[in-house]
Amino acid sequence: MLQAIDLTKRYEDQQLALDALNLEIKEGEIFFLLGANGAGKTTTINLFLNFIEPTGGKALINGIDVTKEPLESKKYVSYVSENVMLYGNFTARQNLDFFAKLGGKTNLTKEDYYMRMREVGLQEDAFEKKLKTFSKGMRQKVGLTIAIIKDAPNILLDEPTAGLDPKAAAELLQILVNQKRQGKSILMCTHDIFRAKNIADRVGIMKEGRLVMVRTREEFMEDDLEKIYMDYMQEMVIEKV
Amino acid sequence: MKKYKNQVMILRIASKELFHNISTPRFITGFVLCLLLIPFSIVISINEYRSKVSVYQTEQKRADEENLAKVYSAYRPVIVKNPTPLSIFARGVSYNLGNRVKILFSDIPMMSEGKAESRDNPFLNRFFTFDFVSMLIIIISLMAFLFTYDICTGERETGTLKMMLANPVSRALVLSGKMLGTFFTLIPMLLFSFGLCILVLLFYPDIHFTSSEWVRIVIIFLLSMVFLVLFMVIGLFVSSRVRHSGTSIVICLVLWIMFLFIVPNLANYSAKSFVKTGSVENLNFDILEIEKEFNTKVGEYDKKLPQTDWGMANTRFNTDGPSAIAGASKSSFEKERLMNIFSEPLRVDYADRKWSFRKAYITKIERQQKIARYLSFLSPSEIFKESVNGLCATNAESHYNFLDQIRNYREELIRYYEVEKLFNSYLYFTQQDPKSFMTGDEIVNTLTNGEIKTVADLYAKNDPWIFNYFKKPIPNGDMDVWKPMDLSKLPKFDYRPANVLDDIRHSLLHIGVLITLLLVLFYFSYRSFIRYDVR
Repeated sequence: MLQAIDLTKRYEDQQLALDALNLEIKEGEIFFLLGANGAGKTTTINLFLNFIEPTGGKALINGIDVTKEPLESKKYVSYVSENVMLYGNFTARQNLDFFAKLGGKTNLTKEDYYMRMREVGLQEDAFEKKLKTFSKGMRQKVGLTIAIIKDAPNILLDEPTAGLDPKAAAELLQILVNQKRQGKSILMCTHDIFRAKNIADRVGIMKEGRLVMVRTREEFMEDDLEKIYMDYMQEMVIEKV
Repeated sequence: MKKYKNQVMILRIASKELFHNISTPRFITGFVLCLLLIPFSIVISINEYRSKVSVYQTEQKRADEENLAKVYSAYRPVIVKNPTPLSIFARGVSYNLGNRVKILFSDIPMMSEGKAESRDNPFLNRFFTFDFVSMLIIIISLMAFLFTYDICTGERETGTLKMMLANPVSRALVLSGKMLGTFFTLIPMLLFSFGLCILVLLFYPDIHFTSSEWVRIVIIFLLSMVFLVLFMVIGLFVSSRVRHSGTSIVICLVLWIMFLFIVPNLANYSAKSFVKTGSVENLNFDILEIEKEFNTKVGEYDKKLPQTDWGMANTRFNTDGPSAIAGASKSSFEKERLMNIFSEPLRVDYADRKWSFRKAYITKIERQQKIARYLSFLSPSEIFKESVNGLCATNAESHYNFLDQIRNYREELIRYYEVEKLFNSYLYFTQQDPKSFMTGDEIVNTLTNGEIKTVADLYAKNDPWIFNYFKKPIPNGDMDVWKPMDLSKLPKFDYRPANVLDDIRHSLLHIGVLITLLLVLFYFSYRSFIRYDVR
């Protein structure tokens, strides 16, 4: 379970990146955080991962305060970033092995890695190939495998479908749905409103560091999510002008 | 258990870092550099060393001949310094200086003479040398920078730092693992460099190292490891202070050029600007004035002594002190002896007076060297180089120590002459038995085969060509029949180079600065990395 309680971040230049975010993502739930660039989506993820310190409030992972017990909290979270580069001179399996062990999975065999890579749709001939020969989609799949192999109850994804072709993006989302079925809490930051409509249980729209709207699947399927989102975006453009 | 887990985690990150590093072209580049530069520098250094040894052997042979004195006044020992084979590792200032010193009573040695490179201040390091340590500095510092400039920025740019830190692993562990992995990447280069050096040396069976020298080589290796880690930490520090690898490499390269090329040159230049030594010509002029005063005093004393009855004799000129005399008249021998009793202590006193001028000059030279050395503390590579020079006994201090020992030996030798009253003795200038001393008349009688009985009779001839009356050579005038003196009782110069512990003690300041710099920079790098913005 992921919880943000009055989570606030103000940077040194006094820019308010996140303004008292209150959010709870339950087990077996996919939450899509939508918003324009600079809305505070990535800041939220960075705060959950303790990459930056909050200036107010707290972020909890499975009830553990990430600021007070960062290492303990990270046992319960996996992370997939926007542009997974990984170690280009290592093979996919070597990358998996390294990050799995960092995540505490020390007893996995080569076959375990192969099995996981098959699950995310990687071709067998790619398992022992160096990552620098991989396409972005393939690298993203390896990144997702790393997240899955950790088997943490929470998954944070920061724009994981950016730059992926529709097929690769659809495959990736299918994997997330499978993870959700296993009871994982999933927080995904994205601009991709269409994917949100496909798999999200709830969506939240962020604007200038504030969570301005949250809708459940039922609600956003009833309303026109695209229109709501575009209205917020337009408002922001007009305000800026 | 937690400690064990942390150690395993560090090793895991270290092995990742190591395998990542060795799969990059940088790793191969490092070895290629070692392969190109190390044997090249070692062969050059070996040739220079062998040439120095050859010069030493020639000089020593010459010195052995010069040291075979037939009278005490001719015994002015020549001391030749044996070049150390450790100069192959670090030549320091040893090749700027000559290796030969002649002990004179009229002068306290200021510098060594002999084959040397011409420089204003020989105690200042050269801008660039092709010795092992210089090549090692270039390779190790460059490689350390190339593997650390992106140690934070590189992983930030690829996002792997975020992925690592998204796991239950602390930044301290990540940093330790990465540094350990980089160290394991670079240490084979260091071992390879030393291995190559030893391998090349094996092809030269005439070059031997004593056990003490091997100890020094081991210490140099350990010090090289400190140097390697220091440059790694500098690279880490830079990388942890900037966000982009491009910025980091530019800063690292600027620092590299500064440390290796600009600071040493600037240090020498600044030292020369801060302390002016004055010209050697002025110094020589002052010395000449003192020598004139000495000669005047000796001349005045000579006039006070009684005239001799006969002035002709065989003499052999000595560079320092009275000439050797054979076949002089008894009164001439006595006058010479009385003169020596006056002139020789005076000569030693005037040497002290000349030394006061020379000392002032050399103090400035030494001050220049010390300022240059302290300024070079701005460059870690120079601190390292100076420590290695110290361990190889090729630094300025080692030469000061050699010259100090020579000066002390000169004092000891003069004291021996004084205590044994050698200045008062006939042996100081002749081997002729005093019982064989003849009066002037007896000499003239012998020379002319009895045809002219006295000196007065000879001069009464009023003939400028008095030699025409001589039928025989000067009696007892042949110095070639004299045997070299037994000088075994005289103090001998025994050069005692500083032992390993002394050299370590002398290098302690440099080693201490290196280690302190390393610890301080590591502390700041650590703090910087803990706060590093991984986004």
